[in-house]
Amino acid sequence: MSVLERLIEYGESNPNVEVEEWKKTGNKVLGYWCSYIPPEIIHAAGALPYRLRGMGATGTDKADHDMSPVCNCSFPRAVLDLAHRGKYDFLDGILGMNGCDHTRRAFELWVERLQPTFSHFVYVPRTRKQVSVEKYAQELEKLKTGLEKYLGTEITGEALQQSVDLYNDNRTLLKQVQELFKKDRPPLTGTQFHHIINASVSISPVRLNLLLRELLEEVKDLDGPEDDKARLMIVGWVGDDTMLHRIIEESGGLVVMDNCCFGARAFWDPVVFDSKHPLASLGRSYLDRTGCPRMFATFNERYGMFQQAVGDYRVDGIVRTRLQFCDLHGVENVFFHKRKEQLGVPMSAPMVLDYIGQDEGRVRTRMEAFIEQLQQ
Amino acid sequence: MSDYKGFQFKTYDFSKQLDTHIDLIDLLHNTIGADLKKRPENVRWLFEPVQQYLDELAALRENPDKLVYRHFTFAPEIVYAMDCISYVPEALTFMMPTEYLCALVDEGREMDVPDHFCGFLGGVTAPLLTGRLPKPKAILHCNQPCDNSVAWGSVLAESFPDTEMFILDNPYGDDEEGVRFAAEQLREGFNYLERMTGKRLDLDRFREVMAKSAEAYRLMYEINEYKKAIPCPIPTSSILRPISVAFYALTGTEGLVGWLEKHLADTKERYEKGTGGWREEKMRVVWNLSWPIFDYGVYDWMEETFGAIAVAYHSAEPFYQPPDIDYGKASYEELLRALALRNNNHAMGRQGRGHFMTFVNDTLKWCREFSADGAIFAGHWQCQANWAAAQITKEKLMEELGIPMLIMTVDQLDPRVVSAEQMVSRLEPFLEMLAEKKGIKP
Amino acid sequence: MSQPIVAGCDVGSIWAKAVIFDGKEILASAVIPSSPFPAKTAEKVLEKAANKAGVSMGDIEYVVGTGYGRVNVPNAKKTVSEIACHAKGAAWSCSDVATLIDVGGQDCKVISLASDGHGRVMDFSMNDKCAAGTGRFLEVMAGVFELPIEEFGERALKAERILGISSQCTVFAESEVVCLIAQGHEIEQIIAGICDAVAARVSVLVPRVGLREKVYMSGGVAKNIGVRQALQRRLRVTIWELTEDPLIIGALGAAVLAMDALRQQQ
Repeated sequence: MSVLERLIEYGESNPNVEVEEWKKTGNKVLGYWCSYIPPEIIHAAGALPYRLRGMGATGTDKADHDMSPVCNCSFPRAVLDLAHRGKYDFLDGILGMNGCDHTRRAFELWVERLQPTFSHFVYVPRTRKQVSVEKYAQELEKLKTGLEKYLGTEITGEALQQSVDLYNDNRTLLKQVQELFKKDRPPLTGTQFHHIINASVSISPVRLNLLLRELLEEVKDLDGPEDDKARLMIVGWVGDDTMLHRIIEESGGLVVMDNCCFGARAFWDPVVFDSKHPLASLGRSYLDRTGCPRMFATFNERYGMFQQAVGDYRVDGIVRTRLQFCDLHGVENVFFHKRKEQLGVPMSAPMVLDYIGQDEGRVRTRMEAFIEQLQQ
Repeated sequence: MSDYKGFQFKTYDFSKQLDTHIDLIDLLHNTIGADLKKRPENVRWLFEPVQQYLDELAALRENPDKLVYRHFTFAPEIVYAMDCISYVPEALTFMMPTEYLCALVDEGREMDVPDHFCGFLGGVTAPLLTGRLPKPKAILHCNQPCDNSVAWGSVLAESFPDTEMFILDNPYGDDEEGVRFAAEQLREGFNYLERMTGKRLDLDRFREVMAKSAEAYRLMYEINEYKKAIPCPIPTSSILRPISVAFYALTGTEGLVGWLEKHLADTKERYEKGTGGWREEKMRVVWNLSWPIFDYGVYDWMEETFGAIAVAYHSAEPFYQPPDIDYGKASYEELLRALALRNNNHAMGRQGRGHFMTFVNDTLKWCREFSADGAIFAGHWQCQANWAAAQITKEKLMEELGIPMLIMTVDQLDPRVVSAEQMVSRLEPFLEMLAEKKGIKP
Repeated sequence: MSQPIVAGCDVGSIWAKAVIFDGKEILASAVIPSSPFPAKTAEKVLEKAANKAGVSMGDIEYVVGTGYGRVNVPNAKKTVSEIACHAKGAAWSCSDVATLIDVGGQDCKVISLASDGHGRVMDFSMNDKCAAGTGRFLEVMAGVFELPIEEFGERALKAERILGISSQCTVFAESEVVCLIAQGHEIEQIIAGICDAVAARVSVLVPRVGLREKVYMSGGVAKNIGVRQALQRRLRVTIWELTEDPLIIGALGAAVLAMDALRQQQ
């Protein structure tokens, strides 16, 4: 199996064989919701951080007992449903946060209904005020203590530094893979890269570094097939489902960039670590980076990222999406609408999707039409 | 008008081309303001809070320097303490005629506002983004009770790119740490307001505002105590609109204290007579979460057909008791702490920002203390966090108090989502069930 | 005059039903399609049932109306919600109903009944504002296949596997089905998927009131064997058949309530 195939397989499986290997060594695996829980701390405590994903869910009935399909997002419902069906029994505990209302409640309900052996909630502020940054540092301190107590270990400054370095290496390498898409004929497809990103949040950072280096070595000088694909950027998508990427690429498009949380945002900014103030600096970095729309009034930062990307990646068009009932990404469609002229590339009308149960036909028709429009 | 068991519910005419570019303050004065003046003398006092807030909005015309945008779950005391006036967009949508609200919501959708976006905010998104709302001196925003509020913060930032905003991170927990966190931020909030408005905080004024706020909460607490009586001396439905405006917009004012005093006297009088509200009470329900306001006829129907009285409304009638301190002499620190406590206990914000058990426990407490026969969870379909607490609340209510809860979808403002008749189609079997349980003939 | 005669009339979104009842027996029942004129529909269906029973409208001493068009039932002395009527009707038919699943034209309800056999409602849950999981959903789908709705359930049983229909919205599901047809999937398997999709929406409502046996089903969709079986599979219980036509249970309950009311009046 090539390294690419292996990474894709990890991305497609939930869990993957690396997790099984990890468990065999007697170490614990902790699931975490959302990208504002620093996996660095979990890793420094000797556990494998596993980002909770909905991959593999076939429905949401079990989760729908508590959450409402009339207004609750299908992604956390899919994750919670998997938990109800025992698909997350391999986890030794879960960590939640107030990423958005849906994931926050899904975490609470998981704890209430399924009573995992270990759970911990991290309150993450949505602003960068000094008081809030300090609050987040305190929360990370509590997380550290909680993990130490549960795992019977001490998270030393050195271990934390090491984990930060490892994850920063992950980010650098993922960014190098991302940059391959600047080429006229990238050696990877966007779908493949999305799988790699999914893999990156569910295996050990040590292993990921090895695999990514190997991958880069293998593909960096290659060129993709010689065909004229519309180069697209996806905005607003949440989750690890690769359906949208696949449909776009089956319809004559190539996803060269995105701003998704299982996407470029996950590795865009490195953590700036100060060993004198380990948790405070870690927290500051997480709040300061190009964030999720859960952070107040940060659209312009993301917009700056898109503007840059439109040039760097020679983007032909922007696919606007959002998950049904996502207010945070949903409202950004309005701001894009206002900047239609300014960005200088065509944008699709907002594509409203469900994590589970998108009818492929409708999505395909829309994407085909959009891509045809670009190619005219 | 459509007819339901002899009951007339409102019908709406969406064929008219409404001038949505009208000044919204004018609109409110010409509609709800004019309606208030037409009400009979003996009940007009009930709506004083609405009139008071309309007067404040009117005063903004002469005092544009006092205009502070404020999120409806950000305690208004901070604005009063700085001698400014709150401009609360959610209050505008709350008070405007349904047809206008719908037209404005539609206008927003044409600009790609998601169709699930809360109407309270969605209704003013288009006017805001197109520069039809007044420019603020300062903006106070917060992240409770829901994601809509966070998203709305982005709309404000987009609309006033040159105006720095102050955003309060509402804590998750209900503990002392959460109070300290809020208090520290509120200190920054005052610094921010001083910087933005050029005014200085007058400590005596802050003391006075907090004293009046505490007095209002004390009076409300007492009114609620009377409302526990059977029959309930004053049904919630009769004072719903004013009470929402009162506690979302007017705490800290003399006007509110005066109104609550009248309200208390009236409640007491009715209590002593033992006559209850306006209709015979046969059963008691606690109303949870969202109260559709486009047609109050629904509540009349409940009372008339089943004698079902909504004795309490868990998201607008606070049961919070402020700290017992000497407000006349309190230090800045003490006042900040009191304000933080008040803000953390803001109705609706309180249940939205924290763990779902806050929602559950509040419901249990209200149902227990008000001797409810049932609870009605009317879930505004954008209250996503609270929706995810509904089923578990229902189960705990049955487990601990043996009383049922109805869960139904509503839209608090937009009858096109769920109409009054559709609400009734859910309420009717539930109330029949309660009636049968109590052996009452409707 | 020996026994007084009463009637129940259930004006639903797809069918209008009437039952003529003497307190002991169902004298006759009738079902006609609903029209945009509920008052006329109600009158017609009552007349039809009365004719079958061989009684005149004047002989009927008490009428209870139920269903969406209940306020329009002429001569109805009382109107009661479908929930209460279905509970009453089901309990009259089989006294051991603990959980009743009613899937009607535009909504589905799960009703938990008191164990005394009198059809008292203990709790209920209803679908949200969405047509998935209703008879209307099945009708739309049957339209896609140009199949009579009656054949739908039988066809589902012939499927070797159930194709997943994941869209929860009727409109999206319709386009999803169109895609599946275009992709050349076997029709039986798609239909089985549609029946399962209805069952999935309905089964979510059951734990909300707490599943207690025995479980029965009423409403037009109860006749759809495909949905019934999918529900049994999902809920892991047997769903029993009522002794009366599941379509008339609401009207029957209304008739039972009419008799109660009449006796009280006398």
